[in-house]
Amino acid sequence: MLDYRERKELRDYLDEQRLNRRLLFVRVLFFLMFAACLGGLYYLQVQEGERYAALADSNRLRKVRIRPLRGNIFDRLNRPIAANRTSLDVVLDREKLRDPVRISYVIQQLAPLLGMTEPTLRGRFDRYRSRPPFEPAIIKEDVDIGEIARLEARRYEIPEVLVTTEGRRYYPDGPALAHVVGYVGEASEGQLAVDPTMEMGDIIGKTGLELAYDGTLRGHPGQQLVEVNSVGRPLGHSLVGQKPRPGNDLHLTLDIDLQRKLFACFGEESGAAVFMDPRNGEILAMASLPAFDPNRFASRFSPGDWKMIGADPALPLLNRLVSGTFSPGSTFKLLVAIAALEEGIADESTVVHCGGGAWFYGRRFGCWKKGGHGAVDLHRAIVESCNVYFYTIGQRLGIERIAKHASAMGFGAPTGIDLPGEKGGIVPSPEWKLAARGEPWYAGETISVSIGQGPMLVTALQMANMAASVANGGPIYKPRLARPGPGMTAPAELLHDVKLSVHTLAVIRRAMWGVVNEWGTGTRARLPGVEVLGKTGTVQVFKASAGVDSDKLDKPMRDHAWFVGYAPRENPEIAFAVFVEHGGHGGSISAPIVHDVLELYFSHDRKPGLELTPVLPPPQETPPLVARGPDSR
Amino acid sequence: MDRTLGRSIDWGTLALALLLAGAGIVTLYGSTAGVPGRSGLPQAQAMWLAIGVAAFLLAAAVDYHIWTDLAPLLYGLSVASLAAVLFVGSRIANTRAWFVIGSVRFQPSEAGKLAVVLMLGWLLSRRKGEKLGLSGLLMLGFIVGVPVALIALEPDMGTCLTYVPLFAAGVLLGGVRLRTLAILGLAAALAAPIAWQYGLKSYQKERILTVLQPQRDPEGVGYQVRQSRIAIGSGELWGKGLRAGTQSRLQFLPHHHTDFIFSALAEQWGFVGSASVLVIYTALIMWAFQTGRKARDRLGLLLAVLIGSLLGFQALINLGMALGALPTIGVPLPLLSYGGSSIVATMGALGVLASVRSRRFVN
Repeated sequence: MLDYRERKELRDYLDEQRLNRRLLFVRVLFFLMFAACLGGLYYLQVQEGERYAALADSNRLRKVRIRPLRGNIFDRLNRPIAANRTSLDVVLDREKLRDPVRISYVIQQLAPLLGMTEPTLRGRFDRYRSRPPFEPAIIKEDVDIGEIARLEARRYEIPEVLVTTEGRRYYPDGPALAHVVGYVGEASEGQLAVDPTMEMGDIIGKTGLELAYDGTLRGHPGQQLVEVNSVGRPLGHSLVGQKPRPGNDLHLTLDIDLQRKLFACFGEESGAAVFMDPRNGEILAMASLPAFDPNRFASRFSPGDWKMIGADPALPLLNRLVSGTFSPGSTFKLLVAIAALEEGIADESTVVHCGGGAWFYGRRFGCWKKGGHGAVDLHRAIVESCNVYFYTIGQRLGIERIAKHASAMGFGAPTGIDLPGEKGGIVPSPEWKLAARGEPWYAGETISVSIGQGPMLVTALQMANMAASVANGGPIYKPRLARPGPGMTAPAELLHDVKLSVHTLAVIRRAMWGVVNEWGTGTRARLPGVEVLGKTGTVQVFKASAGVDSDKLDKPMRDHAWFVGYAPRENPEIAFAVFVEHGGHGGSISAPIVHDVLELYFSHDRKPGLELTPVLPPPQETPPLVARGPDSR
Repeated sequence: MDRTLGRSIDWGTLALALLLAGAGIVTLYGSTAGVPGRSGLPQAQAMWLAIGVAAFLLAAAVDYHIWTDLAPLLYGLSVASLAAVLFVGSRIANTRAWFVIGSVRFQPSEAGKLAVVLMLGWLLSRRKGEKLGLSGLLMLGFIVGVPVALIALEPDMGTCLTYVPLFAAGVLLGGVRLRTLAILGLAAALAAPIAWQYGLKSYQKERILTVLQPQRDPEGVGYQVRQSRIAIGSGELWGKGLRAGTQSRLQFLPHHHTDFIFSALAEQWGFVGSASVLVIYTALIMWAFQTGRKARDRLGLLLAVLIGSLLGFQALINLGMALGALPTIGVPLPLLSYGGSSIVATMGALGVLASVRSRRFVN
């Protein structure tokens, strides 16, 4: 039996023993847990270190796309037609602008300065709501110096406003080349889905040459590895990357002087016109009116702008050069005359009596000259554009032979010019009518087609080609706008090898010469010192116009006016087709346009410039269509 | 300072503490120097460390029995300040945990840990040899529970959690029977589902689930854990070097100067550096337990083990969180994490430890 003291000592002893056991337990527990942490570190840093290092890099490195500079477009004398310029954009620093009250205040202050409504401004600012805050909100693109000055004056009050620069497409001649050069814009979602190399915001050609040569002009984007922080803000120093390759320049066959002249000549009129070199198909000038300013597409286009331009009844966005097909009118008499001569139906001595009209298949077909031309031969029939003469030989030819020669001349098929959206027009024939309308051909229609009325539809390019064929003595070369390089001409590409006899050519050429230089319908295209050949055409719009002077009618009822031809008579250099919508008589509105453009073309101070362009001998291999730009190696 | 005092201070504890605090300051410098909006952190931390060293010296120079005698007073002051902070404290990040005087911020819940350590020592050392019965257990629970309840009201659950080892160590060392421990454990196991259901907020549950299933929510709660693991792992063997830690400098790693400072350290110095720091840390904790084993009396043992458990547990929670093995709980790594209150309180606690050590039996 232990006494109290002994019991207490034992108890103390046991207590201490137990305390030490428990302390040991705590020590071992902690030691093991620290050891586990060491194991964890070893696993993460040594065993899995490389994987985590890669993850850290993918955190901090972002691929940033660098957009390439789009290639420039030059005319045949290296004058710029489309270039890049710097535009000034007004942006708001969203990092500084966070307080909603302040936002409202800034928007209220800015609206009058920028000439925008507060809701519009608010909408543009709010579009960035889901973007990281360091990304500034672009609220107005391409502001002018006046707006900048007004902003600067208020700068200390609204320090959140900044002005940044952005590259933008620029077309120095604006509307004059709108339908030829086209315009650019941001790639649509559909285009992004099709082309995986493109990204949101990439600028691509939308119409015209910008679209046709987009692959040449666009260039290749570069990319850069940029170190970013956790909210994606780039931190200045960029690492290895790939430089963007700028797009190649595009050199055109166009002559900007002629182009400007042509555009100016049209004034308020609508229509389409082509001036080309018949020897190789190079387009010297071409215009479609009304036009639009392609520069407006380079900035953001507001829905209101779209509505306005889209609802315009004059259809400014329609490219009448390639997508507009028109009735050829009397200019088609040239084709009927060629067909008749080639087929032996008529020659220069074939005479028809015109009494101001004639009866065919129980219906009277009138001549534009109510009193009649009397006895007319082929030459006079073309020069004075006698309808009755062509009704007669058209009937003798028959629709099949007219269609055959029209097709041989390239009608009814696209010319293959390097512009998108080209239409082929219509060459009417019994087969065509049955297929297109499910109706048989009426004999009377042949009579209409003989003077270029009826379902026949042509493009201005096809008409210019017909003139070129006569100028060249047969062959038609594919019309084109691009050249292989500055001052270089690619070999002409034969499009239609039209066979015309010497006799046919002589008759037709003499008649076309007569149209301008005798007492014909195209005398207003006459040019001193240069022999211009041509043929006018008037397309009836208002049926009851017999005996009414179309030129005096209200504009929408006036006839369409054509003038087709070439110059000079010997060694032709330039072929043309001019179409003026509701212009009245071909001779009174279209011929003067031709006169003015040709006057410039043949003027002395211009000629040397054109001769700068050497015609290259045909090389063994087809050279690349477009030379590399000065920026690429 | 006379020679006796100089000898009476345990310089070994201070050396270990300064090594760790130094590593923290270098890491801070490496991950914040030149980063906009983060300047001055290492300097501020160095200043707090200087104050901490003063606290260490004061605590070490005075006999720990005197500190324990003062315990009820210190404990009372601490509880009062924890209550006061709920009313006059500044609300920072939805928590009323700080007194703000000018540019100086003070967190009473950090100093409170030391007060609870001393108070437990005071309580348990007076019950030598007796089994800790139910009343003793309740007393123990009360001493830890009052500050914890006040901190829970701030609310600061991470700091609450750091008080848990004090209770556990008190129970373990206070002489509770194993049977009682078993019953306590069972009760805790039963309470856990109820606490899960009613006690935890949904974001806290989300954090716990994220640990069990790291890919659960990579952009949300899992993001921090994932970025921390990437920071540690990408340090590889040798580290990315001073000022080269991309995860922390580019702010992919959240709270890289406070709760995740160890991840920032591991990123900069690699396995070599992180393992070294971990070994030093382990040494410090083991040093504390060793001090307890060799303490002159039961009070010394209790204080040393309580301090060792306090710091060791908090360090393990923090490391477990950084490694992604534990839920993300806002617990700083003592001595390394940026924060003045924490480093001063920790240095003070280590000072008490040094006081125990310098007055131990020397064989």
